[in-house]
Amino acid sequence: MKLLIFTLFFIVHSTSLFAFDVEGKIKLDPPFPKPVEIEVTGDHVKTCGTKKISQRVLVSPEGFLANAVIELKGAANPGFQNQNEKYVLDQMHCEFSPHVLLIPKGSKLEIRNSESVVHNVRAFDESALMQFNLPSPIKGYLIKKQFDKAGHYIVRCGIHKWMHAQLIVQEHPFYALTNDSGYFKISGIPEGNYILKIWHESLGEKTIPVNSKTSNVLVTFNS
Amino acid sequence: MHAEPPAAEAMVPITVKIDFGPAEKPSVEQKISIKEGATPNEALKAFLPVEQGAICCDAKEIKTINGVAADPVKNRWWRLKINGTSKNASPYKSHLKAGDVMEWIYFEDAQ
Repeated sequence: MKLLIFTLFFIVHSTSLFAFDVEGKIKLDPPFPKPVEIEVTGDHVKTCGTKKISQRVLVSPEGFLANAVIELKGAANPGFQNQNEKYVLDQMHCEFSPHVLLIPKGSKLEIRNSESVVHNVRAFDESALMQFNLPSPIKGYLIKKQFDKAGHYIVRCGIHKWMHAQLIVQEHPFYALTNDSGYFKISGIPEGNYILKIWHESLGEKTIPVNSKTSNVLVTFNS
Repeated sequence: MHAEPPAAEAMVPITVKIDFGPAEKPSVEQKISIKEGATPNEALKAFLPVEQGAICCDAKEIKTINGVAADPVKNRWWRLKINGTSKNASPYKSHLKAGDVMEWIYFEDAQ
């Protein structure tokens, strides 16, 4: 029995002993793009105002890029510890918030309407196949969905054409999203050589090799 | 008693216009003959290759015309106009009559 306990302790401990983190920043080459204004027309002006700022490319004054999706490819999948967390995609100020959302495969997503504006929520998979089309008519309205298939989904409002969000349903936990400072961190990676994939909805994709010796990265996209 | 011969389906002329917009294909404008009362989907399918599928509300919607597909990522869609207006123009509920102008427009919304 003592031997069994010792063996189990050694396996768990050794896994964490040889794990490493990858962290870094995603940057944009100058000149940095200016915020893109979207003109709101027709009846939508009453509820959404005359202009919206596109959420597609958000860059700090120093050129750091928000909302880039980072995926470590090639690691064995240890499963999720955060599958039962509450994931929320909100509709507020005629925008989806957050604009990019990562959720573990099999987790539940609440799509909430937090304003007194009628919305309509449509989700499409990577092959443009519509997954659902549901009304979101009143403040406080909730749509509950479970995503059992990993992949990249785009969520759109059928009424306000600019409104969209990127939903990444993760196959494994080794994902991260850059914050407003372009920073990300992926923790608990088993020792090994991997590929880090960086994807941004407007700027495209880059890949770089990483391992425990190159765990701090700076990746630059052309603007 | 002699059975009445089946009535021949009346063919009527309409104009088809296709604007490929951001897909940058040459636009199309042509007079064609269709069965009177055909839907825009039926008339279009007889003229160009199309794919149907739900993009908004019904699986009978047009997703692709001549290889140019509605694209939720780029926010590009197909819009139908009949006689210059999209109001009440449905790809599968409207019925075309002689002289109608059926227009399919590929467009990109800001996002």
